[in-house]
Amino acid sequence: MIKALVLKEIQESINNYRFLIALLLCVLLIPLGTFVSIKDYEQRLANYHQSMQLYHERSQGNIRLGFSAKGFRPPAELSFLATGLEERMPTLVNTYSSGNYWFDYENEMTSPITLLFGKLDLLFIVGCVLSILALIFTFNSVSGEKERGTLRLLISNSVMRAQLYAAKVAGNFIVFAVPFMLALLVSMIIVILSSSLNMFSAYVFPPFAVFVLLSLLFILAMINLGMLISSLTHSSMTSMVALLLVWIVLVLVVPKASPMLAQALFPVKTSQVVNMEKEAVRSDLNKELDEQRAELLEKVASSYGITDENDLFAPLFENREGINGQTMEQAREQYNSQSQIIEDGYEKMISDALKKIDDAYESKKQVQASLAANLSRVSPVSCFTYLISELAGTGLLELKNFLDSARRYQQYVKETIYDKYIEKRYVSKSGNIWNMASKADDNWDPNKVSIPDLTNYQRVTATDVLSARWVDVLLLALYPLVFFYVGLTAFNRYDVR
Amino acid sequence: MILQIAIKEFYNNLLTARFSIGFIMCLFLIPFSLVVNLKDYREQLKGYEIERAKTEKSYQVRVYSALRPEIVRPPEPLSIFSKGISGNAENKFKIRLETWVSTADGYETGRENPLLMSLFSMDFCTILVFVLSLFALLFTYDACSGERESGTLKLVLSNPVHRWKVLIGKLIGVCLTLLPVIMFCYLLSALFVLLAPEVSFSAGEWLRVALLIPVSLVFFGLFILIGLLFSCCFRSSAASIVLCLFVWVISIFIIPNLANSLAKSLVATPSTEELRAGNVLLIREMGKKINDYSQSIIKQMKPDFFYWDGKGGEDGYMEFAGASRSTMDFRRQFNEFREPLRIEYAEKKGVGQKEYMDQLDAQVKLANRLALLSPTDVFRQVSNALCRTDYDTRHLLISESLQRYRDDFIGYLKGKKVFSSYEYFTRQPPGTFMDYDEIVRVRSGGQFNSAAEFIKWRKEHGGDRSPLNKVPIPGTAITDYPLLELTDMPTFECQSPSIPGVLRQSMGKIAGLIGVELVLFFLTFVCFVRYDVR
Amino acid sequence: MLQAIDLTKRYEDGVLALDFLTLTVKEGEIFCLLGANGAGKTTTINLFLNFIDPTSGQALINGIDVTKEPLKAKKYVAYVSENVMLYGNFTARQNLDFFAKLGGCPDLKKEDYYMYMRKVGLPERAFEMRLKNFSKGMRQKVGITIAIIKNAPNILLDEPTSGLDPKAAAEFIKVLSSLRDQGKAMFMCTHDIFRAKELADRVGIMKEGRLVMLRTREEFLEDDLEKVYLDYMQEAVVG
Repeated sequence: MIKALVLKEIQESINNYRFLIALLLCVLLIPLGTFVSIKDYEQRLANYHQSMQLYHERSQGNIRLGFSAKGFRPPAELSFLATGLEERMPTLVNTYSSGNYWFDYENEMTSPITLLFGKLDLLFIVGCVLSILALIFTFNSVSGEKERGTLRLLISNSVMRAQLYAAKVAGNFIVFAVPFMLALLVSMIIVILSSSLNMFSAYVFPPFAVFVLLSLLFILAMINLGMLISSLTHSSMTSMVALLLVWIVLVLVVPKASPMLAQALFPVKTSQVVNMEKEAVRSDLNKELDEQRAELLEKVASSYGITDENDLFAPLFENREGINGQTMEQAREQYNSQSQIIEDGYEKMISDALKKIDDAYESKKQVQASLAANLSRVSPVSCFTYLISELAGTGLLELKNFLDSARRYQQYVKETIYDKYIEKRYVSKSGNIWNMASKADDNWDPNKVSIPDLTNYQRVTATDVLSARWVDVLLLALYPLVFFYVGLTAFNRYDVR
Repeated sequence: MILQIAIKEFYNNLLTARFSIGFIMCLFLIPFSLVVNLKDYREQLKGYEIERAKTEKSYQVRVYSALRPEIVRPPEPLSIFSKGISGNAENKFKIRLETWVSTADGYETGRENPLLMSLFSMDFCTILVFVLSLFALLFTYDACSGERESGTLKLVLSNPVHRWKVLIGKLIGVCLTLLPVIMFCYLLSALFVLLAPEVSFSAGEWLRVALLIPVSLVFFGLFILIGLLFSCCFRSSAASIVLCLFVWVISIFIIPNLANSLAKSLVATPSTEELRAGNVLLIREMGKKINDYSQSIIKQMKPDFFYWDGKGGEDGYMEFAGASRSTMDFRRQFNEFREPLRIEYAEKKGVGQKEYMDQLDAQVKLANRLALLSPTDVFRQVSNALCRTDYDTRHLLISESLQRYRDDFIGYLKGKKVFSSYEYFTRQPPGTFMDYDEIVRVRSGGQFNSAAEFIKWRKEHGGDRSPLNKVPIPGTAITDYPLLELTDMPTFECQSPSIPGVLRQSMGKIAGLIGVELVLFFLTFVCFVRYDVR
Repeated sequence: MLQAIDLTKRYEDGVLALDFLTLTVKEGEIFCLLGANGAGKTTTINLFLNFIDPTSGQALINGIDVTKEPLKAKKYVAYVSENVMLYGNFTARQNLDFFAKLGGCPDLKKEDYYMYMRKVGLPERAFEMRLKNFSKGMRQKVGITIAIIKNAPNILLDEPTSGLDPKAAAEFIKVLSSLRDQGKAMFMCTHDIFRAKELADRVGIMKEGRLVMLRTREEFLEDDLEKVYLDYMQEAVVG
């Protein structure tokens, strides 16, 4: 029985020209998007290799304390799934002996084309175009049949309404999934044909397979949503309008509104305020440091019987008021060593205090951001977006992963190069600092060190993504069920007159 | 007769559910988008104030070599209406001698999840495009097919009315329905802007907003006609709506994105690394020239390199006081050679950069041109141009205004002959410069009579300079001098396309839209006249 | 006066929908056209309304050729469709108002519409009710009111009583006969032999586009119309 119903749905849909248009759109857009994105990827890859090569050439024989090692981030292979943050992510990390590492971005001037509009990646095609197509497929599935009067006829047979409803969902889903899978097959062939990507490597195939499954789940959710709306309304006109409203809310409003709502629910100071706070703490501590230094100076001076502390800096090798240069030097030595301790202590205090503020701010921001993300999960589109960008290696997980490996890289370069040097600091009268470096071990030859790079960089894998973003997967699986259940309930009560 | 039909259409539209739903949608979305954008603007403004206070400091300098103006662009108030590319672009620039125009560190504007922002911006024009174009289609998709389905078309046409009158009546009726909604949206947004204390528009800005209205009317006219055409082409309104939505999807999502991707793959850009490599060569060449010159004048002038107080920094910044005369002379002569050379090489580096930028420019232009296939993108481009948030405005800022300001600034420096003057690196009056010997004599309080004596002593004492602290010489600390008076500095003037300029630029696009509308109208007319009413 | 002279319609797909129909309906006469579904009855009405162009022949309304001067001809004809679906969001009066203006009677007042609606027997409560809440009989009455208001000398009715309950149909017929008394020429397609018998001055039976039988009232009252009709239909089956 249900088979006949599903077949009828499929036939009805296939005979409709909207199937034809969907087929055309899928088969044209998905491979085209894949092709263009892969071209883009190839260019990035070529750029990456070229940069690596130049870096290696230039660094040869240049390793010293001031050497800044570069770690290039390989472009995301799967950016054809989702461009995500790919263009906002740093392209490379520069390590420095000071312990700070800096990131470089694509270009000093942002390429203006990235400002224009979105990409034609699969995430966009599925999340935006196919979601509205799925809604167009289903909007008059129930209400339209009611208008034509065929619904009464159907229900007058001994069919359970649930069966009827399930058949409608299944039929529409099958009709929709077939061109989609077909198009994906074509784009897979494009990927296989492209020389730069190995489709069946461990970094491409599993995420791609997960992407296909998740897309199907997402499409199922959208089809169920369409059916739900269709069975809540009584004319196809109304269901159409309601559907578009829902779509706009899901795709446009929810992602925009959730950060605002999160801001209202969990306010966080702006970065400017935090910077000012940091400035205040810093200047307070610096003032304290200055006071302590003066105190120390006084103490040291008096203990050596120097009446005027400024004499400490006066020419040393002249006897002044009975204090010989030797004493003066001792005093200066003592002052210098003790003030160094105080200075170091304060430096640590300042950096700790600043770090504390930063950490508190970051964690608050983190809470707000995750609250916003959670709020936006009301929309299956958001869940889908998060998941796919993460899978493509262009999401927040990957960003964090790269930042982590940048830190590790800095540590690595520090251990292999910077720690081999001893550095001395000289401060001039006007506050300029000179560093003088010398090798800690004279036998150590910097030219024998292999030039560090990020080649052992590990991308997040599909398993990482799924374990970190299981909520989204769960929600994406739950949405079709919930929509189906509610839709079925509505359909069971549907007034067929 | 036309009027009767128009009025009937108007009332009929008003009474439908779609009108109320659509209206509620506008009522909800427009304030929402305005609140979002006003908030964004407020945050940008706050950031701007802080940044501007910082850049004020870039003018508080004592020597000309420290003078490198920083320019912060205020946020564009009109971005509330149409965000364009203003949301992501840098807005802080620094003028340097050694580089062409470059950006300083821009300030962060968004604290949103970047994944969330990537889909669409939610400005007024986007809402208008999204919601009202849908609205226009929803009101027209069944204008003809729906009446046929309900049989009223037959009844209407059994009366002595020309078909074209019926069509025009319908068109006017839909326009009458949409016009108040559009005007309402504009009034609502104007109200929001008026009530927001931090935004105040100038008359010109209001004019720009006002000019958006006719443009949006032309734009909606197109969607009205598309809907009408489909309703006259198809016998069932279900078919018509599905097709209308496909056109909508293609116009709003697919064409702009496709144009972007196509432009990217059609116009290849040289890699940035290549550019960097080329620059490295130029920098080396320049370095060699500078080095050769300095060697030659050191040989010639034999400076003693005695410095007392000094500071240095990027882009040629150096500031001295109390240095010996020969050192100062050497510095002056060196700068006289080096600074023009650096400017020259900046130009040379600029050639590659300019080529690169031109390539990017060509990419964007192509993307924009390809996107013209979509009426939504035409509207987006025109509205962005009117709101000064489009690519051209930015291009003008970077390749014209900033370039010119850099030229002006360099011209100003050259005009004051600062490169060959001592004021470029010291404020100490040349009359007070002393020889090394003299300095040593005075500072050491007579302990040493000549520099040679002091140097010898210093060598013996492990490089100790402290005897020179004995007798201070006034005016030898850099902080002894006041800040430069920069009243005659050229000020940065940002050129943005004027309203007539924008209109001239957009005229072609709008004319194109109108042309398409005429064709659509003609087609609709033909279809309706031949429409089978059975 | 409605006149069809050798009116022929062959559709693009080759189906001959109407084959040399020649017919005149005079003032004060009700002509009922009977026939099975697809016999060509609605085609005839569509031809009279210039909704389709005839392959050959002429359709004249008050002597005006509808293909040559459609607008002028339409002034003299009113049309009542099988299922009068008017603007559902409008009230009965608003619908009447719109169509009156279309039909060339722009200056009628509310009371006039009420008067007309009372005349056809619409209940008072329905005057300002949205049409989508109307029953079919009430809608048909609004439909005939539109025709009455237009005050055209000729009325084309396309199965106006199908789907009406007997009482509503009877009321509708009463309205029609009063219109005949005013001298309107009425051309009505119907399946309803009994109503035709009750009402018609002349009856025609159409089969596969041809008018196979034409009887005046006296004639069809003599020999049982129902039997004649079925005989003709029978032939169709046999043939």
